Amino acid sequence: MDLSGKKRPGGQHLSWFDLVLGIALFLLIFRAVLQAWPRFDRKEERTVRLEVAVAGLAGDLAAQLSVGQWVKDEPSGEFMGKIVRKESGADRTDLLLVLERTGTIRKREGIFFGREVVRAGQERKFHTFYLEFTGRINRVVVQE
Amino acid sequence: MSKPSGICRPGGRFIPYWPKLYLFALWVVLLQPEAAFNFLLFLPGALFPLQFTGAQNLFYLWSGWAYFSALFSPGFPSSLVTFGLEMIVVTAGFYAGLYARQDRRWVWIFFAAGLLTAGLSLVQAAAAPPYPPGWVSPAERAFLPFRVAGLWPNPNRTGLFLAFLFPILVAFSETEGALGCRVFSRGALLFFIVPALLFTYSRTAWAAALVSLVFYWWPRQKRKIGRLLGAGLFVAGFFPSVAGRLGPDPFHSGTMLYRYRIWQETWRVVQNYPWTGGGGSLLRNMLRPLAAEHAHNQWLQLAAEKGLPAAVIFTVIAAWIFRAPGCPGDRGADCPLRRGVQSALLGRLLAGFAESLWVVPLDLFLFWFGLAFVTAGGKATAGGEGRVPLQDGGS
Repeated sequence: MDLSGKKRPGGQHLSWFDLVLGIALFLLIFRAVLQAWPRFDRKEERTVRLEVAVAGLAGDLAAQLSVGQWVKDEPSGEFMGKIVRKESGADRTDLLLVLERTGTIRKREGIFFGREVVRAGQERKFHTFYLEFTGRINRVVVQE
Repeated sequence: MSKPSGICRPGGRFIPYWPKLYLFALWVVLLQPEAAFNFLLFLPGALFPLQFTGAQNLFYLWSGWAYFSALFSPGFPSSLVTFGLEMIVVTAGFYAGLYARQDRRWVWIFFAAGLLTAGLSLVQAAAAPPYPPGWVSPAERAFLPFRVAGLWPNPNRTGLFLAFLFPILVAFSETEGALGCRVFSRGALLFFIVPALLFTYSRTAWAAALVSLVFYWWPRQKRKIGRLLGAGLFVAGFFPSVAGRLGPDPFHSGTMLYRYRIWQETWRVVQNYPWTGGGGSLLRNMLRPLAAEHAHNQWLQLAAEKGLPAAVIFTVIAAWIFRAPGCPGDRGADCPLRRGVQSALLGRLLAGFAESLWVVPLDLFLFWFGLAFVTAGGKATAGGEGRVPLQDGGS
């Protein structure tokens, strides 16, 4: 059975079966592509400050951390920022480091330093040129 | 498309619709590979007057053993439901493969699905990070930027699908169609499918693609094999992410050590139920503490699910594929394409050492599709009755 009046450019009738299959196929491909299509979030570059708490670092090791040094994430090698402030507790073994760098803000994903997502509460291994240490990110501040 | 003619038998009214339904069903299963019931769309093909007959004895042997093991496995009677679903896919693959010998438009569907997968993979690569989430471990982030997954959520499966397509599309681009068509297909292969395969960062898929291409060109086109190996070395040497993914010793990587543990657990199931196997659900329960859903080895998976005889039958089937014509010396019209499918199946078998190939219905379908396509031989017909003209979309 053909659909009356519908002709292909070549003059052949378009059968109802072709039409149904064509529409079904188009919808199926559209749905599959939609499902696999990645989200392109709006990205913003902002200056981000991290407060990293380092507990129980031996005194001579703590002394080797100073303002101006770069700090990287140990497993990934991602640059986590420069130390802009260093505060130490009364016993000089508990440190609070403030790191600063430009991060990417993705509205629905979070704050990225390169491929690393940065969130408060993360415990990470860090290293500088001289030293390796473990610290917890206490606070993340995005500068306006 | 030319209409089939000269068919006068009961149910003949259905026959003109079958080729269209066949191509539609191919699209459906390629886009939705996990839904076993979609494969029911192929079953009317068993009623279609086919010009070719394949290795029916292997099909019956496998079906018979699968039925026997389902009856006597500890998972009975639910094992029969699993058997039913598997047989839908196996039968669909087998008859679709036989029909594919007389209607070669399936290659275009595969090509289009490959391009769609590759295109989406490149879009995902552009959007990365963090797409797709969860496939790059923290330890790998230093060198691995992302792993694309194409149409499906798993980069390894996407990689294996592209690796399966690879020799078929190479055969197609070398032999089919006019010059413009060949230039287009080679360009699409080089600029879309090769990068997409690389970006899946699936080592098993890389190995499968490499071995299948070497087999495809061996021994007539050794120069191309040399170029292929040279290109492989170039990519590994100049792209740190590829070299990092391969690692200094892939056989002692974390992934391999994880697989050894899975294989040990799976072997325990084989030891407990060597003849009938323990069934799929028992194996999954055994592997749950390791956070694995399958054995990551085709032979062990079959032995654990259906018993050691199933693994032996699978080996016989695998050997049959390479006994079939399509090897050098066969000068038939379909020779390059059959050789391509044969090579694709070889890649699959190689991947079977590190992956369970038949866990996803589409992979089970593709294996039986390829087997039927490669082993199909012309059917002797009396006076040409029941013959359907060849439909060639390529040339």
